[in-house]
Amino acid sequence: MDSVSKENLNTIKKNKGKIIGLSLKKDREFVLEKEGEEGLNKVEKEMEKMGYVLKTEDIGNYEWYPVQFDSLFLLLSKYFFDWDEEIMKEWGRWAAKTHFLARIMAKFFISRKKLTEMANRLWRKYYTQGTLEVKFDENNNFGIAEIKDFLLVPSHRLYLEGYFYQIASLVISSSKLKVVQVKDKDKKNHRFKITW
Amino acid sequence: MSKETEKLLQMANNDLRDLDLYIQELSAFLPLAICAVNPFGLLITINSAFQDLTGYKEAEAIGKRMEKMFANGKEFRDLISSESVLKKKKQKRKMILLVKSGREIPVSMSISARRDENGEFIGYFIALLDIEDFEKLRESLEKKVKERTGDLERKTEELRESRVALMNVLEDVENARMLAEEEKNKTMAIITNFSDGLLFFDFENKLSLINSQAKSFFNIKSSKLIGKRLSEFSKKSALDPLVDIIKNSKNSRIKEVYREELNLKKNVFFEVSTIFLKRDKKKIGSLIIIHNVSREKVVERLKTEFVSLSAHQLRTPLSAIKWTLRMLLDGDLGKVNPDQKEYIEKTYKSNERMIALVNDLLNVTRIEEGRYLYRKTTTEIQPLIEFVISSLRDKIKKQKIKLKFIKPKKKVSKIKVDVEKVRMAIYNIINNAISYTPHGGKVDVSLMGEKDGVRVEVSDNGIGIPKDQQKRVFSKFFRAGNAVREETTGTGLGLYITKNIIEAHNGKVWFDSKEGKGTTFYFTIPFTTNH
Repeated sequence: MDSVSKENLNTIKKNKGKIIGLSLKKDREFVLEKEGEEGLNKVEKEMEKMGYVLKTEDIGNYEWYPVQFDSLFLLLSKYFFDWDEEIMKEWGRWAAKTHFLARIMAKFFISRKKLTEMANRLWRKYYTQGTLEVKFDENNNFGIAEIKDFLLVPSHRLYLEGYFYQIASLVISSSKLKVVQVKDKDKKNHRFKITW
Repeated sequence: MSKETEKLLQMANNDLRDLDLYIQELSAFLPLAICAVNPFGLLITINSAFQDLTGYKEAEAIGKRMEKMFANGKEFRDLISSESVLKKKKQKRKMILLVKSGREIPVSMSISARRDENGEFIGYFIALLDIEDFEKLRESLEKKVKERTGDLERKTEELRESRVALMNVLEDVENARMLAEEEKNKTMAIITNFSDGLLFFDFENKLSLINSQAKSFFNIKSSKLIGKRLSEFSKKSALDPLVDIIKNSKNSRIKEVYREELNLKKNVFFEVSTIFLKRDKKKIGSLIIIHNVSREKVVERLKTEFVSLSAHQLRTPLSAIKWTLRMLLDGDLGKVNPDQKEYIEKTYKSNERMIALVNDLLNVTRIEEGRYLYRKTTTEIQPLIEFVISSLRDKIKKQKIKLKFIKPKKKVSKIKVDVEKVRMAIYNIINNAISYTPHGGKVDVSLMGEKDGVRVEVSDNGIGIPKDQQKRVFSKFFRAGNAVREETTGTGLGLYITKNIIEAHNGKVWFDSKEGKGTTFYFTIPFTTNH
């Protein structure tokens, strides 16, 4: 169970990277869809209390904003609405389907090889901090998506787990497809195992 | 980052935002459902119209297998797995879209391969055009066309059947026409070659047919008379003698066949029969048949002359025999014994019958030569009847006949007749009544004055005349079978002579009879007679 712990807040504060406004906006749309305007306002007010003032209508699609805004938004939403891990993963899958950037990039994901090549490019569309590497072991039907140099709280990791699942499903046609976090203690590097 | 770079970045960011807005606007406005599918057949991009059409939101549609979007998904799978989409620029297919609500919508799908900047295949662009309304319209039109086609086919079939029926009718009509033509030709051949002359006047009395024999009889060379009415024939026409007869026939009251003899010239006689033709009780015209009876006339004349000559030649010796026998019976030539007398009496009676027969024959020949009546005087008829009854008194007495003469209450006017001949006619009728009435029977003779003339009735309760023989009663030498059995001595000429006498006075004679019950003879003679 994720919680607004001091540790998580510190982790968020330490992430100095930026996120594209489009992504921020889309993530707020998910909350709006799930919990309505009231739910969204609740999260935004809490963020304001914590000193993170950013109204949805003020977000520019192609402006860059501190990743902290997004990580905190994910964290607070999970906390306030008591969402389980599956909803957080669904959020990630939803983002991979609806984000304009993901749609732009989807055309490149025509094979696992291509995904390997283009993975970091996709990361860079969203974030200014960190890298994404994806590798596949075709013989053993698995792959690893690894985020390096990027601080993540558990709720954000669940979100990305869903996101990677959706992206992986574009190049892996299997009902056995699974994406799971590899539980490392390293807070800056994060691995996700893709199996099918 | 320098200020200059920051400024350029800001400008690029603005451009990107404008472009994004433009794309969003375009996507929102575009009515055509568009989507992008990756090489595995997964939906990776859709526009607003796609969402509207399918009912799936973006998050629901993205990642979905495109083939699952169609009821005929296999066709889609076959299409994208074939090389044709990669080779051709764009392909069109009619597909059945399965929308979220489960409804099936016919769509026209355009599909083309999608390539990256290096020309590498990266999936498909697909556009879906909702053709449900078109399809409904098409189906409605097709249904209408089918119905109309069905109607047309039915009508065509009906027309074909009608045509066949009509052709059959035409064929029948043609056959009937040919038969009629054949019959007409036969009839015309018969008419043309008929030994009698034929003329046909239509219901307007216009001559519509004259055969060659008729032309020959009247020496007519042209057919100018065809189409002319009787009244239009010139007085000097060769047909003039015939016209009079035709007019007579039309003026007569005879409704079926009118016959008259025509003596065209010396020894040339025709029997002209006018037949009034009717169809469905409607008069359609008159057929004139001209039969040349010249030869029969000559033969008849020769026969009459022969009979007359023979009768004259026979009467002289018969008279001599009569007087000789009378002298023998009276004993003037010596005494004869009773046996001899009996034989002589029988011979005398036979001679008398022979004389009567010869007289009758002479009368007949005179009748046929038309020189029978030549002594007409105005007289009362009652004394003539009384005279005849008186002359038959012995016979009446002998046969015990109860004869009653019923005279008129008013006096009957005189008539102009040949007394001797009329007396003979009355005699023949009353004598027959007595002869053929059994002993003790009764005979009533009645005289009546009528408006136009006199009427005589002679009725008996005698043997009567068999029905099958009644038509021949007035013929020459005819005797009914029962009459011959009853009375062997008759000549069969009496009623023939009687009829000629009465008709020579413009009178009429007829009878009613029932075999075994009796007979009534009637005759009338008008007050004015031309003969």
